[in-house]
Parts: sequence; C-alpha cells; structure tokens
Amino acid sequence: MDSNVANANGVANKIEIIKEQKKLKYAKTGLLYGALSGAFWGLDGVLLGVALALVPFTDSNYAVYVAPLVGACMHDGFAAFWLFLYNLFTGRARELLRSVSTKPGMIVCLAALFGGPLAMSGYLMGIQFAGSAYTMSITAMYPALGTIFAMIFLKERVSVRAWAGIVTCIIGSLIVGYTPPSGDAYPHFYLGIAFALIPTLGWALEGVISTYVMDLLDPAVAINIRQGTSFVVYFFAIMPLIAGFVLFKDAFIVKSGTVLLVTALSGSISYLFWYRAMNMTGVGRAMTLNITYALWSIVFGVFITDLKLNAYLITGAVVITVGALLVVANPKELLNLRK
Amino acid sequence: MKKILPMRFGILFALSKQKNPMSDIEIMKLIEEDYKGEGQFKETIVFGHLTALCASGLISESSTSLIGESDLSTSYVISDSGRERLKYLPASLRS
Repeated sequence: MDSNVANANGVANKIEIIKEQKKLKYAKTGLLYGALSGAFWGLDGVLLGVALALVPFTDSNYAVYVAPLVGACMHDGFAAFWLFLYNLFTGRARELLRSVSTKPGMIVCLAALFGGPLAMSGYLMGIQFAGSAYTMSITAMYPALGTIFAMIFLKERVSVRAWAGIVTCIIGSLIVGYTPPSGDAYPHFYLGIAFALIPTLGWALEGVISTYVMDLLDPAVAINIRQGTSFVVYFFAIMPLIAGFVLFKDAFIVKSGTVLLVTALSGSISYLFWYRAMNMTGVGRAMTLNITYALWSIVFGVFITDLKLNAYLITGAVVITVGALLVVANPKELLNLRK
Repeated sequence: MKKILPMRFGILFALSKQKNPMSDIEIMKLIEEDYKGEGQFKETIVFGHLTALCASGLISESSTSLIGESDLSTSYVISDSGRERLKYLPASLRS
C-alpha cells in the first residue's frame, strides 16, 4: 500500500516536471520568435533603404512622401505573396480562405488598417513635418503603449522586471535614433508631432487587436490577412491619393522591384515571427524584442551599407541588449500569460 | 453546406459541445471530419493550437497522464473566457 502511494506520488511529480518543461519550451520558443522578428526587421529596414535609394525612387519629380509610400505598398504586397506561399506549402491555404470570412478575420483587417497604411502614412508625415529624430523617438514608445493596452484589454501579466526591460529597450532605441538638432526649421513642427502619434497608437493597437484575434486564429494566417489587407488599402486608397501608380509601375519592372521582393521576404519572416511571439509570450515582451531591430539595423547596416559606427549607435545597442535580457530573463513568468 | 471554422476556433467550438473533458487525441478525432486531408491536420499543429488556447486561458487542463517515459496526454475543458469568445461564431453554428 505504501509503495503504491509512493509510486503514484513519483508519477505525479514526473508529470508536473514534464508539464513545466513543455510550457517553458513553449515560452522560450516564443521569446526566440520575438528576438528573431527584431533581427529580420533590422535586415528589412536596411534593405528597404537600399531599394529606396535606387531608380525610380530617387526621381525628384515626386513629392518626398510618395516614394516611401509606394515602397511600403509594394513591400506589403510582396510580403503578402511570400506569406501566402508559406501558408500554401504548410497546408493552410484553405484555412486562410475560411479565416477571412469570419468575424475574427475581419477584426484582423481592422488591425491591418491601424498598423499598415494609417501608421505608415502618419510615420512618413511625421518625418516630413517634425523630422526623423522626433518622429522615431515618439514612435519608439509603441511597445510601452501596447503593453498598457494589453494589460487593460487582454489582462496580460507584466512583471516589474519586464517593464524595466521595456523601458530600457525604448531608451536604447531613442539613443540609436538620436540626431543632434541641426538648426533646420520645421514650420509645421507640432503638426508633425501629431502625425507621429498616429503610428505609435497604430502599431500598439495593431499588436493588441491581432493578439486578441490570434486566440482564435493561427498566427501565420492572421499575418497573411493583415499584409493582404494592408496592400489592398495602399493600392486602392493611398496610391490614387498620392498619384503613385506611375512610380509603382516603374519600380515594379526594374532592379528596385527585385530588391523589394527580397526585402519583403525578410519583412514577412519578421512579421510572422512577431505575430507568433505576441501569441506565445504576450504583447509587451514580443513588441520589446521586436524593437531590438534598432540594434540589428546597426549590425546589418555596417555590413551591407557604408554605415559608420558612432558613440550613439554603440551606446544605444548596448542599452537595447540589456533591456532585451531583462525582458527574457525569466521565461517562467510566461507560463500563464493572462490573469 | 457545413460551415467549417478556422482550426483553432473549431477546436474551441468542438470542446464547447462536450460535457466531459477531452484528451488531445480525442480532440483530434473530434475535428478530423472537418480538417482531414489538409496539410495542417497534424498532431504538432493541433497540439500547438491546444497549447495556445490554454496559454490564452480559453481552455484549461483538466487532467494529465503519463504515456511511456516522457510523453503526456492532457485532457481539456473550455473555460468561461472560452465560452465568452463563442460570440464570434457564425449564426449558422450558434444554437
């Protein structure tokens, strides 16, 4: 009798140990996805810069915001294509079609509006009217805003240490993106600041809405819907507004189009991993690991372009790394994402 | 024509119709009719959906048993949060 009880206790202990190992593995996989999403987005950003420096994007006959918006449209279109191929070859093609027609699928479309055309347009207008330093500084806050929204609407648990990591990563991003004031005048500076708030809110909302929906949808399918919707809105709503079709057609058939196709592969991988990370580790950690792209853009920039390291870049990179380590330090916190 | 839900949602819906906890293998058999023949209908993917549903609190673990030396079979039930999400079911599936 005693040996049976001891045996049962031994099995129960073993079950608990294996359960915790499996949950920890799930949590760590999610953190890895988050970290890799930052790496691929850093690469994406560098390659996007290369693409936008090619003809016809350098044609000065276009207003300054046309080239980036056309580039963003093509990028999201190509990314939707790559993600569709991934879903096709992993047996999710029918899943994609049936998901679009559901209420959760339609909610993803809403998230796509916030995070895609709205956010990107606001981002570019912010740069146009307030300069890149202020715009990037404000938009780097999006993980903090996303985490607050996630705590309120998704009831996500975020530890004090994870918050410290989020804030540290944001500070690191600010340092990396800092440009000393050059004395240039921005006559519509406050309008630019207002525009910069749009992507901050847009990307935070996209993350929270998409995470809510991914409780019911496969992340690979959700991000495919998101990219497809973003491209459709860009193509049918934004392109006519900015008279971007000529540039779109010209860029599509030359080398810049090919570079964008490859860039979008990196972007689609980043987005897929970001969505998986949000689903597996929660919005706050996934977003924070995603903004390590500021660090990766330095690494890839040094190797692919003629980026020169300076004190701000190195300091920012170190601070981002510390922040990321704080976020991932205790995967056991992720065993139960919500209250 | 029967409306088939996205698989993760379909698993939640299938569990909502059960009175007793269902094991991961039983859940696979339950949804097999809707997803058989699709490349995504594999243990790794279905069990991944179950883990995600559990992590989000839409289902909860009822019991776990050991299979062999290191494999587990877990039984699940839908939670109150999970029932609340059934509001997104299409009208044709709501009863």
